[in-house]
Amino acid sequence: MAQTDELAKIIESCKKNSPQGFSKLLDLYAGRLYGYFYRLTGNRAVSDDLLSELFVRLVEKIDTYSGGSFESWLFTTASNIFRDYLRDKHRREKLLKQHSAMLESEPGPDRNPDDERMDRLQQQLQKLDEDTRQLILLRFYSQASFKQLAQMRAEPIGTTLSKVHRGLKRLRKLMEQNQK
Amino acid sequence: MNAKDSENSKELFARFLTGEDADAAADDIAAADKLINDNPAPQPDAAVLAEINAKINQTLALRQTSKVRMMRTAAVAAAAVIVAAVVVWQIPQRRTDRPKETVAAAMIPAAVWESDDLSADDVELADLTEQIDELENEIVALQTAQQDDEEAFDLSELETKIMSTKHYTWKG
Repeated sequence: MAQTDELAKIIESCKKNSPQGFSKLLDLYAGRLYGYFYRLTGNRAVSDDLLSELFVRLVEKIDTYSGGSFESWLFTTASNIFRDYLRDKHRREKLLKQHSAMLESEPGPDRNPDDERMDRLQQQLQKLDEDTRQLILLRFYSQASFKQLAQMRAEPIGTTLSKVHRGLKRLRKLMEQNQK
Repeated sequence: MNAKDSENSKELFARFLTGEDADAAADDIAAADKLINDNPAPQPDAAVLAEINAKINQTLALRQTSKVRMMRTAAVAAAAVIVAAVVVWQIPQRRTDRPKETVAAAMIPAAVWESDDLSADDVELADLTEQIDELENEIVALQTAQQDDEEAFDLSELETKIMSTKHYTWKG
């Protein structure tokens, strides 16, 4: 409860445009949000950019938070930022494909410098489909309940339960196979 | 404890699956959670966090500036609206007032407007007063003359009467 009160105070100071408030928010959530972005992209540089973009957006949108679970709101915003990034990435890739002949000698569109030293979990996560990966990581890093998760994704709780279960089961299987 | 950990997933799965399957599904979830937990993601660099803090401050300053600018713009716009409203409101009034103002300005010279003795400072009025004075003098003169004439008449009449009286007196 004390933590909730503390968070409420921080949010209130953020709404008053206090740099200290946002700094505290960054200290509190940077780790989890960075983990979320990193597990989604597998790229540190992109995760740095996404985290930075998220906090700039928070400064602009903090007034729109009107109660309820702050973490659900925060991670929904993070999820939207990742979706925007994906859309941009697909658009860039499409453009680059169109001009592939010209760019043949240049490196790929989103070459991942972390590819070689990516951990096992990251490698297996990349094998899951986009939606399942997002859902599993959203649940883990936002620490939201299934009920909150279903609300965030605007889908029935049964669908969320089933997708998470299926996705996590597959991830476990992939990890086990990789270990052998 | 966070919302994820405080949730009873077995109960939740039991709403959709039979007893054993619900338990198994809940165990799957717990095992997978542990798996992710045991493989922590990297943390952001301190330099990145410092950069983000700088960006936050920059964005806040920009917002503050744009807020002030918006308030100024709003104030200027409000002032412009008020001025425009006053001008629009005064135009019909000016149209009705204009002839009166023009007549007053043309009719009354400054010397007359500021005068304590109008009959002296108003050239036309002074002229008129002089003429009236002259007329009055003439009337007085005429009256005097008339009186003189009457007296003269009386005298001549008296003389005539005296002469006739004399004549009759002499003729007897």
